Amino acid sequence: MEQITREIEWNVTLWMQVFLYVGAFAGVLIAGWRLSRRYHVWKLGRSANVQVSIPRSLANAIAWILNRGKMPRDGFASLMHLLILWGFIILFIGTTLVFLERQTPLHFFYGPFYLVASAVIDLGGLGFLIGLGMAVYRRYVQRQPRLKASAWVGTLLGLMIAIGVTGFLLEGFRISVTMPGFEKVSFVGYGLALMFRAGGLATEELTRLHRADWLLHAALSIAFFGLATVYFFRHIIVSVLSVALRPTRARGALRPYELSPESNPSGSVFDMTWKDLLDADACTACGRCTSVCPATAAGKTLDPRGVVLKLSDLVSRHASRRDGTTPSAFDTITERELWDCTTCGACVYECPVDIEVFDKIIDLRRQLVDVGNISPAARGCLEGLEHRQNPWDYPPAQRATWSETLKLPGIVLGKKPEWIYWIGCAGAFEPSAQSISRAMVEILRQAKVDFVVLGSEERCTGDPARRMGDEGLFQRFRNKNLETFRRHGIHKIVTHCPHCFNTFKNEYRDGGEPEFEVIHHSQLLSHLISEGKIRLTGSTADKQVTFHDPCYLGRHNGEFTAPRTVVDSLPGMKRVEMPRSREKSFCCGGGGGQMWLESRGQQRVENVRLSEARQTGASLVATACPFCKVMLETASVTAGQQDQVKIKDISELLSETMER
Amino acid sequence: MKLAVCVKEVLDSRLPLQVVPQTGEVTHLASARVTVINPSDRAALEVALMLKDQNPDSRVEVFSVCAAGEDNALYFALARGADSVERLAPDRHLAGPPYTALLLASRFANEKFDLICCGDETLDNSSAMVGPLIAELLDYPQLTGVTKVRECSCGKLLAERSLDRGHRELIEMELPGVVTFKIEAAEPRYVSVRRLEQARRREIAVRQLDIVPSKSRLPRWPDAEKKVPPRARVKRKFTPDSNLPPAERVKMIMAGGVAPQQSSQNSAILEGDSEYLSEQLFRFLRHHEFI
Amino acid sequence: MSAIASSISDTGFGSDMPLILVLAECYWGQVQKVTLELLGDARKLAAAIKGRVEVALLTSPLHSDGAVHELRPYLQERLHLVEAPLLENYTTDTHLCVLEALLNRVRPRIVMLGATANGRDLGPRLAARMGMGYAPHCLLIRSGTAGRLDITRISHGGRVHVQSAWLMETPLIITMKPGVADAVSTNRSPGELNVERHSADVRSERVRVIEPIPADPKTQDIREAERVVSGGRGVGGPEGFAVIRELADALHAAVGASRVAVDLGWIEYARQVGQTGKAVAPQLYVAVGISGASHHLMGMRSSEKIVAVNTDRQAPIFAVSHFGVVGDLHKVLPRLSNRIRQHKAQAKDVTESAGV
Repeated sequence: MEQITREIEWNVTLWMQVFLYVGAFAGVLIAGWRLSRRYHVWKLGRSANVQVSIPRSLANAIAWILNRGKMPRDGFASLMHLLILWGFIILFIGTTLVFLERQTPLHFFYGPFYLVASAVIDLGGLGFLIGLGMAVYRRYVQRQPRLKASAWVGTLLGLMIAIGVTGFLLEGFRISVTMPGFEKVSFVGYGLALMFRAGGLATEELTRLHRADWLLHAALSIAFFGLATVYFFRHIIVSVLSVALRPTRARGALRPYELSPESNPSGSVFDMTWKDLLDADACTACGRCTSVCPATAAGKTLDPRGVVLKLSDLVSRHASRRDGTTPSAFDTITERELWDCTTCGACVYECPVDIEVFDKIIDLRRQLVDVGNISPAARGCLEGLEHRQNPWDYPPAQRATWSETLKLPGIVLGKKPEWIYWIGCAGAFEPSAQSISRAMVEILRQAKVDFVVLGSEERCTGDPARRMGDEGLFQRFRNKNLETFRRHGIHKIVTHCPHCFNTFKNEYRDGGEPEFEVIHHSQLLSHLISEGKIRLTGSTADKQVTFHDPCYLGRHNGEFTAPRTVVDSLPGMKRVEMPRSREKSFCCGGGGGQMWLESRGQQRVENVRLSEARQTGASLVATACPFCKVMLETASVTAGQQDQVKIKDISELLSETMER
Repeated sequence: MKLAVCVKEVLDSRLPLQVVPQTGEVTHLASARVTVINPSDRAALEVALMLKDQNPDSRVEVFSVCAAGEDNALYFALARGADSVERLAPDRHLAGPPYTALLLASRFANEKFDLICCGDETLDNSSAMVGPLIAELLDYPQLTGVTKVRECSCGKLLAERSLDRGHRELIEMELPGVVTFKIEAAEPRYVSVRRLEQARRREIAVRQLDIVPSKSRLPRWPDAEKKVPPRARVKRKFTPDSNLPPAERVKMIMAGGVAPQQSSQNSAILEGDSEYLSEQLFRFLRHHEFI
Repeated sequence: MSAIASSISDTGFGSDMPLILVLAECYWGQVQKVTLELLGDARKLAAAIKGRVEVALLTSPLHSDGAVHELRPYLQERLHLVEAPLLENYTTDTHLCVLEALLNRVRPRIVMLGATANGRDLGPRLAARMGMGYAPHCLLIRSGTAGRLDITRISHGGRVHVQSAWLMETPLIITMKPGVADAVSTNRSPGELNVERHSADVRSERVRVIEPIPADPKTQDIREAERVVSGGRGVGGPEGFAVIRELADALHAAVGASRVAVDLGWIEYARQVGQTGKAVAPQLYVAVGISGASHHLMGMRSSEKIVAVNTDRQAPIFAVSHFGVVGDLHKVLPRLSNRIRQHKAQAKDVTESAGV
């Protein structure tokens, strides 16, 4: 019986082998050197307040490789990537087996093992090529909008396809010379061999072609190794790191920002955190972040992928800089795009390699704010916060004006209240939000909840200051509010504002023990309904309602159910979901300080969301955030639809149908 | 170029003020005192720093006549990027714009400042005196109400000066001199809290000057002043069109006096066809001499 | 105090007939309206303290005839005229040296200036040079008890009034806030004009006016404009702003806008009035098609007179307007602009036919 094996390196001369090994070595060396250069640039970044735990990082990485993380959200892409990745891994294992068989005393590549391995390798190779075909189809034929049909990526994809094709050809040439029957298991190679034979190619030619193809295949593979760290290929290596080092803090919490006293931030790599620089290099340029960004959808200049890639480019520029110059992120990133961000977090939710996208934008904002390079509107808001403790710049004495006739129970020093109902700045100053506060007061009284309000002792939580980039101002508010809470022994807070909720819950206790419990009013209301403390009568006359998930309640803090429970409990309401809801909810455009900044763009973010709401056929939009309410109401006015659609907070709806 | 900037800390005018009847002190209503750097002084500081950017060898030195607890404007200037700040300690028993100008002028007397920059008026006193008085004491030329510096070179300053009713003039002054700036002279730059707190940790130089006011050329200033809230004054009576129904006429008469801004019931809101409405608008504008 | 009183107790400073000197505000030969208000105040005060009023006018020989002619119908008092080429426009040095000489000659007890840009520039320095008292930015000057003058000046941007009592013997320079007092009207029977000319040796080396930059509401910053006509959502589109501009032209006003109009791209951001735009406090603010959301109100609440045009009777803007009109701006504004233009044309005809 013929031996079921093959002669490793048949037709391969010594020089060819030398070429391969030296070349491969050189390729790996080049890649390693380039990667190490990038790594050294990452290290120049400042501390990211991240505790790196090796076990957890390993667990993250392994889990991700196995379960694919967020990839399955896009079926086509997930399959494509699976085929390319595992196809490549199988091929690589195949090459390794060959190498081991040839260069080490191990002897295993024969018999049944050989048959199984060859078949699997061919399958892997086929999968690899199919996956690449899918990639090319999606990017260049279908022209998927978020993928750029660039020449560079095309070249790299072409390189990988060429490696796969030359590999199969190699197999084909080899088999065609002797045509052993058992090689049918290598079905692709065997098929090619049959074609060559049928084409009338003589053995000598086939041998020559084999040798030439071998060299080509070797050269392409060497090129692949050498190019492993270029834009686009880079993600293969670095994305594992970014996933491994995925942040563990709550999504709604931004990283604290500590600057040394002498520093003068200017957008250089020294001013970014090492994590941000590493992250930026992990970017696959898939564009999912941009495809869900509300600012981009509204035609603004912000393109989250662009920001991340520009930071990656900063790393490249710094690595290759000439002495004396320090490249800055602001060379390529404009201030305008940074100010468009609403911090909704959709980008982070979508990123398949766990890049902290909007955190980078906020970090760059922080640098702008520190040198005072901000617009008059931003300055007005921040100075208003500094001097008048609210972002709307109203006199602080007016904070309690909305409730003058309500005779609300104020806090008394020495008496520990059960609940503090935290009104927030919107609920106190913004007319549209004041009705939310009033509705809540009615509900709390009706349900006989023991609560007090802080009245003039309230001040901004600091969320706008932090989102706009003045961390020092945020810390001031945090310290003063914590002091107020401690002084009064406050341990339970309920608020109707998701921004206040998020800041209290996630940003008032960096890593320490929680000093107080905070819940959102939707959670309290749904609890009160389920306990029967609120009874609902009347009917809302079969209104069609859709619920808009606030980013700071839903995506950042995972609460989707409680507000829906409240809406569903209203008699006669027919609730429909918008296409983009729950974690995929589309921002109202009010976060990240946008409420007080000038906005530009073809469309307004809030108008995009409102038309989505209208398309469900709903005449009522229920929401659970004062900002969302104001933004959507503004949208209804600018669109001239204020009579066709009403925006109401869940507490207002509840108060209207509540039995008194 | 050596630039001097005079600054003052004042009560934040965006918050409602009240006059305490017993002491005549002006303070904030119902809440903690909030102070800011006087806005036109801030503009003056911004212009000085801008001039420094254009002439890198310059120095910007900032001065304030104030007591120890009222030097926030100096800390602000430090945080904003002044080269040095100095507090001139006033005699507790003396006060008023002439005395302030005297201290500042004495401080500048023996130093060669090319340009002395001041705000045109403060949010509190609003007397607009200090700049011109410094110029008088030093016998320097002056420009008040400057809204834009076009050029500052070769010992001359070319600027736009604001006149009334929106008119301006292009004017040239020899240096050294005194310039007072309006709020519009510069877009203020934000100073982050981190920088403010950083500046707080530094020490401010204090200087005591022995000055005898009576020996200097100053205007007389009253010894005692009484601060009171303004009384509403009825300026003119608006006589409405007698063709209107009586109810409307009464409404319009009510609107003619100086009613406080907040009261809505006193102002007239008319309905009717376009001819009528435009005619009534015309009459209103004519009556108030806008036409 | 008494030492100074005795050293200048010459003619004019006697306890009878103290002299009140009104400095006419004159720029490029044009006498400003505030002069007439000062005259009004001066005459009232003179009646109360049994004083006499005289007027000083500084101008260039080129413009003096025209200026005197403008003043003539209102003047009952002696006019001190100083002519010199360098007095064509105001600079501190020229006016200071001329007035120093003039004041030493005529010895007024009280000098009244308008609290205008130039008045406030000159006042303090002149007072310092002459050793006189200085009362800036005043609303009222009245005769009080026991030989005192009660003066009320404004501080804190107008929110606080400061009252003080000045001894009559102390010579005083006072600047009066424009637009408060009533201007004098023309003489019913004008008599002979009493002009005393003074010569002046005026040299100015240190400051030079190069050229005037006239106010152009179209290009000036809206914060500086005395009148603003703003358009909001009701305007409907960039074309709709044409009627706004028309009215603004007729009223010599600047064009402003609400946030909605700017965000929708109908007009540039520099014209946005409101919390995220500019804060304006003009004498006249016309809000057209603006609902009056709180963030807009915060940018124009302090306007002297607010006029609103809106189709919505319930719009919040009507709560702050002094005069409101519920109507369609596209119909009302063009008619109003026409009416204004008509009126101006008529007024022009009248003055032309009067041969003035």
